[in-house]
Amino acid sequence: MKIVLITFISMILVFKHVNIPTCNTKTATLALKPRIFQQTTIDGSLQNTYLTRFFHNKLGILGSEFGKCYFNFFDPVIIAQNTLYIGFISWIFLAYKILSLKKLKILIPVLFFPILPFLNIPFPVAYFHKIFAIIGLLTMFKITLSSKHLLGAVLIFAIFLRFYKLADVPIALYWDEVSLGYNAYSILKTQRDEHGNFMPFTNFAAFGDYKPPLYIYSAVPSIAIFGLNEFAVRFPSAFFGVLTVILTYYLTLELTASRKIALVAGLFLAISPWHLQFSRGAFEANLGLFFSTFAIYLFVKSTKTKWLIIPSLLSFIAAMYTFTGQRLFVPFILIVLLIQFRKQLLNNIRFVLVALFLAGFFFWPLYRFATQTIEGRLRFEEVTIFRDLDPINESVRYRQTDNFTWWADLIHNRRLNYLNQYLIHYFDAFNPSFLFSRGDVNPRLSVQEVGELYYIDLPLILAGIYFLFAKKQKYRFLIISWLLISPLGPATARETPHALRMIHILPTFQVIAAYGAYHLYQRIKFKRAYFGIIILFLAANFFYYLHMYYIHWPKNYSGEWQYGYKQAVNAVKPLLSQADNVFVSNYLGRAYIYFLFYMPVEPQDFWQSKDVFKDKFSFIHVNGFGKFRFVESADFTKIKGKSIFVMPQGSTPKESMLIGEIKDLQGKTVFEISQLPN
Amino acid sequence: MKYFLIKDKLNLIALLIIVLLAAALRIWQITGNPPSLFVDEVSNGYNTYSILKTGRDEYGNFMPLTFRAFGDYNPALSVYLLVPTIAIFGLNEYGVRLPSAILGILIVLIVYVLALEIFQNKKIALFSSLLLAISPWHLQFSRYDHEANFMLFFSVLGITLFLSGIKKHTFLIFSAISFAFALNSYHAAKIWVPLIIIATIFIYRKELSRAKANLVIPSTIIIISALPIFLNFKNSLIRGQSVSILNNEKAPLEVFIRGYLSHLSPNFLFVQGDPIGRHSVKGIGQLYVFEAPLILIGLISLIKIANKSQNQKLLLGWFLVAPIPAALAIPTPHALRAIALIPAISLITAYGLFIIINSQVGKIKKVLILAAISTVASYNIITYFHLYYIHEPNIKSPDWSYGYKQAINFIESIREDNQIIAFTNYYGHPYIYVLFYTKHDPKSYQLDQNKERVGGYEFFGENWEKPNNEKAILARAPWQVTYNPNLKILKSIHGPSGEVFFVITEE
Repeated sequence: MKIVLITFISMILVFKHVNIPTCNTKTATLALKPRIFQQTTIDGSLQNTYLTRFFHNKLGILGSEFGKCYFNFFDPVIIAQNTLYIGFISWIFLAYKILSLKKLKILIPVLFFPILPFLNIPFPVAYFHKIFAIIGLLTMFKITLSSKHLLGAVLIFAIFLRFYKLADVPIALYWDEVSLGYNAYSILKTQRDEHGNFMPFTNFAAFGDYKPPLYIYSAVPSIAIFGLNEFAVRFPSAFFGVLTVILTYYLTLELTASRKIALVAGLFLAISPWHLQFSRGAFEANLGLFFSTFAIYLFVKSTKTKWLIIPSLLSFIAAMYTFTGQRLFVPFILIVLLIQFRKQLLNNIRFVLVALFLAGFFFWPLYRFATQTIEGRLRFEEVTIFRDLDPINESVRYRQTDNFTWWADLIHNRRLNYLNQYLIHYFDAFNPSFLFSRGDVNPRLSVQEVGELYYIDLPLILAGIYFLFAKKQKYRFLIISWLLISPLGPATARETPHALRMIHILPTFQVIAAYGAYHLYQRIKFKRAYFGIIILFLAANFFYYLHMYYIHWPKNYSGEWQYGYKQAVNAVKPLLSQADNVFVSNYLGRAYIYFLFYMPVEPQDFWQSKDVFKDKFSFIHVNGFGKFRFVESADFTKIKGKSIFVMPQGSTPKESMLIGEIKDLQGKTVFEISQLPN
Repeated sequence: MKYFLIKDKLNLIALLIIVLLAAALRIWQITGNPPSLFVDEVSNGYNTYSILKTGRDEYGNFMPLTFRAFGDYNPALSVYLLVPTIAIFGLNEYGVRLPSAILGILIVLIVYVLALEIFQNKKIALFSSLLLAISPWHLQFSRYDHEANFMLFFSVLGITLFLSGIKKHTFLIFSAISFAFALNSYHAAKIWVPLIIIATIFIYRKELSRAKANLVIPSTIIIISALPIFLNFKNSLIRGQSVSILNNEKAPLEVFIRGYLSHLSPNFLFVQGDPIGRHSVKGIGQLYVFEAPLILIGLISLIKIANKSQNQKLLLGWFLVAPIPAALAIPTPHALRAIALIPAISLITAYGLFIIINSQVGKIKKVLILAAISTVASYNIITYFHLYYIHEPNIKSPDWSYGYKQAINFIESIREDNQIIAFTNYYGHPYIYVLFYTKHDPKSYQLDQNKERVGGYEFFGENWEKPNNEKAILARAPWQVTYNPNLKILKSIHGPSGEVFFVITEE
């Protein structure tokens, strides 16, 4: 009970608004000229030069300016504002404990921390106080944490991180989220998808991207409970994200037989920017990750409890029914598992056969769809590098220069070129800049300023890999191979590294980092210092990420999340009854789904009045339904009746009356809403 | 009281030196630094003068228990304590400022006794009084007349006597008298004195329950002393209401906590000090930087041992309660309203120093630590005195309403009888300066119906209309002077750093 209370307080504490004093870093340079008194003092008469140099020397004034800035961060007012009052009390308590027990070594990093503002990074200091207060809370309530408690804490932490402001950050629903949501709604109301197909099994046509079905079905209950809104659409992802964290704990426990490593791995995944990013949006990939991790866990478990091989394989199939990326992961990981557990599988041959049969039964329709239909193949072919002509052209060009000799055919073989391309994309996955500094280039898939992993993970992962081999860890082949085969599928696509398509690499990084962290701790001499440094860096990294995620990222990239559609729908809604036509610009794409979602429009009404067109790439375009017309650029001259326009700036018909303007959080106008005739 | 019979000669000599040092620091250059009498000082001084001559204050109230002054109804002691020195030295800087300085010297002695009482250690006692003697915070307020300093003296005396009174109950009566004085000295005392009395009673509840019969007289004294506040309740609250957070803030509790904590902020204590000009020396904090680690060590060690000794608990309680009166008002941090912190901090610092000197680290280490502390300390102290004596009068002259004395003395030296003098009230309350520096007869001022004019001086705000064609003298702020063919500049009154405060002209 106590632990729940403390976790709760800690959460509030962490998310309490940060109030940090501004530290003008220029004061130091200003202070280099004695500002208070020069040789002719500002208060009048001349002063002896030596006197001035002694009393008002640069060092002293610099020190004083420095002190002002430095002490700001130990100002009790600032501490109290950042930690709430209960946190402040525990802060004081911990400080007192440290001082009175003379554990002065701990204080050294504490004393250095306020220097960070001089380097223009003040945020960690505020969060430092929060962490300090939380540790104080733990010491105050004399909590000796058992692994059960800690798992509970990690779980609550994971839940909090995944559900806090789930509806508001990311700032808006992007196309796919809305589409998933509306299809689920349509299933809920009519048992048919948005286009009227009865309970699709292999795919939902949606925009013509033929979405795998499982996320949509998993969103049905949450939409039934919470209604058609942001929270309900994202709920399955966040929920299964939390389950993945628990799963990571149990999987690691199974692989390493150490509760400590398992806990650390769970914690690492709970705070992983990579996993958080996809747990907080309706990403099919995240649900897919859950299924594949679950399958791997069950597979490992099946070496003891034989029948578990059946749910394991079914879970793999479920993963493939959830996310297209999984279709190029499951076969590879199955091979890895097969090699790792070859002996156990042979002993378990009866269940394996049953499982294979069942899996095959469920896999067959998907296989048929993905390989035998144009729609199923199109999407893969759209993104794959193997449809690029560049390697062939290049091969031809080189061979031409070499006069098409037989050895040139060998050296400049187009297959080699493709292999080269493929390897480039494969190694992209381990690009340190992607992993640690910038993250995915797509602003929807990462917060940009933070890597997919934390910096502190780097040494831990390296140590982890070393210890996996040095200790001859039983499952090192499985863990390392999992890591290495994960990019095999995504590397076939043009956009690499791709955090979304490669998400099934999680939680190997976290497991390895946890393994490394634990064994480093066992090895290292200065255990406390090591622990302190890791915590410090991790906390600083983590809070910086949180700050970027909640404060800056939504504002900077609101456009990437199609911010403005919801506002536009809400602005049009009250006017609809009086209008005959509503013209909506399609310049942001797929506008119709937002109108279906936010009105919301009953699926039957949509089917009756929809104007749909399927292009040669199998993409499905909705040109209109009901009073709505979705247009690229419209000829407004032939309009009859009263019309409303939702247009980008500049496309609004000149004669119409502007009645509203939708701006994104950068202040850029997304839509202008106007009326005709006035 | 046995501590005054000090057998240890060396100790006695040291204490004597400290007191002499305190005296020198508090009296030397007291007339010219702070550079001039502030308006409150002048008001207190003139009211004392008025009491001395007529038995009535400037408004004609006979021997009042609260002084209306500028409408803030100061408690009695702020004026009555000045009576002896003004009787002796007359109506001048010495007369006004000496009581504060003298009490500031005596408190150094009292703190010695108090520290001895609390820590039972002569070294700590000596350190405490030395640190108090040179404390910038305390020096600041014992070098000019402010009733807060009176409150500080009497409440510390009250606590000291109380600690003696625990052993010998008759002292409780003197303690009560002392607290009674403290209660009637300063506005903040209305919060501080009850709080410290309650804290003391709580900490010594067992001892006091044994002295039931002896508590009657002290409690009667305290209750009677609170009467002036209650009898004049409405007026007593005026000052409180104007600065209180309860009236002026939307979230008083949060403002209170923030205000409270701001007094413990290292920036306030060691780097910047109170932003109000008269409350601190520009360039250093309320305390010396070298005291920072000592306070921390002292505080921690004190908390550790405080379970055993009630006296030490009292010291902690004192430290915690002292910022409350200041936290209840705005602005915060406020060095003056939190003045009760000073002795507590001195004692804690001294204790910290003692802990360091007596610590069990190696000899070389200890010497190094002490050398570092004394190097920083001497640099701090020398810098403080340099700033205080050389720069402070120059920089802070506007904060001290500099120029009134020079202007009025000049006008008095040149004026002809019955000549009209127009004096700007741009700098606030000019009438009291005129009363003070012309030593205007209190009786005639009390009887005078027209307070807009005092002894031929007329006070004006923006512009002054000349009533007739006779020549008049005008004293104005430089930007109030407008061109006029008849204008003749008699003198400009300069501040020490050259800025002009008054331009005296004849038209």
